Amino acid sequence: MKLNKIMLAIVATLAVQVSADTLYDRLGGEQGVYGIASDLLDKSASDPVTRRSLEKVNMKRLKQLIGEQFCQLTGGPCRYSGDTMKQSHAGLGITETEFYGLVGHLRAVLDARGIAQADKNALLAILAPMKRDVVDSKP
Amino acid sequence: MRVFGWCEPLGGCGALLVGLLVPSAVAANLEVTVQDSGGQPLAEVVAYAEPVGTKPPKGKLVGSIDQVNKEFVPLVSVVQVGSAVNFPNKDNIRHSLYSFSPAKRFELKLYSGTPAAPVVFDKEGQVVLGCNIHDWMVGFLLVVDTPWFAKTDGKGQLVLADLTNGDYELKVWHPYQVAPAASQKVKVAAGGETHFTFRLKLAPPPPRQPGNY
Repeated sequence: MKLNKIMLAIVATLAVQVSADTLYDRLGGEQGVYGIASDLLDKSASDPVTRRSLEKVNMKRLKQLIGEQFCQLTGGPCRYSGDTMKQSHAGLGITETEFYGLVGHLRAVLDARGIAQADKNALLAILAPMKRDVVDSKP
Repeated sequence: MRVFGWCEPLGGCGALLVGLLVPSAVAANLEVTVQDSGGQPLAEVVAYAEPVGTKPPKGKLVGSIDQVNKEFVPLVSVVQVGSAVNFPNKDNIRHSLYSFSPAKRFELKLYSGTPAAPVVFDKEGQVVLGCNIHDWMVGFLLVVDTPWFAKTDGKGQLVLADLTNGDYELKVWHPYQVAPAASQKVKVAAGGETHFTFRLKLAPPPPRQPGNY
């Protein structure tokens, strides 16, 4: 009996370790990535530095799409169904200040959710190359 | 061919040709005034005259609804059945237009700097326009089966120009109307009545606040 319980515990621990090997899992799986997207947009839409380009935007839809994107990029089972970063940001005139404002919000959201430093950096590293398509290169 | 070649540099030539082709059609103008129940003028109200018993001629069959500062401009539009409507997108940001209205269901993705093909509205009726990206945006299009239509100005007035003699049903429409106004029977003929007044009660939706999600 006792041995069985120990065996079960070992199997359960192994199972957790096996399934927790993607960044997606370490961010909290589906609930985690969609929650991060939602918190990030709520923060960005209420900050004067970042809210300009989110005015009159369908936030429910945007949260869903960014959740999908986070999920796919971190190794989750989702498929991002939105437009490219270049298409979706064209003409918005996003400045570096606005871009880094949003990055700051993302850091704060990840910290508030107790995400480990290494995982936080891993997510930021995945997203960082988007800057060239998001920020308007025109002076 | 030579006639058109000769005509092209001159304005009004098309009207001249139509006049020659239909010598019996004497043109008349109808003036329409639309007011609310308190007698105040109502702007942006559509009025249109449908010929009774005859097939309406084809008008220009074009239209244009712009997007400016994440709003449809104009809010209310009217075109004849069969019109090709352009959505030029002055915003120069991405929009994702849609309509679920029975008169015309469509989706149209508008990308910055990429003009889209016009949408043809081939059925009569009301079309409500929205944008997937900016759920704030709403626009209205009425598709009518007549070339004689117009919208009221700030004084609640409009003119339907060059109606041929005959019987018409004169109707008005606004997307925020509480109930449709009764149509008026009009006989266009020499010495006939040319001024018509409608009363319409509108109930605009409450203004939306940013961040209201």
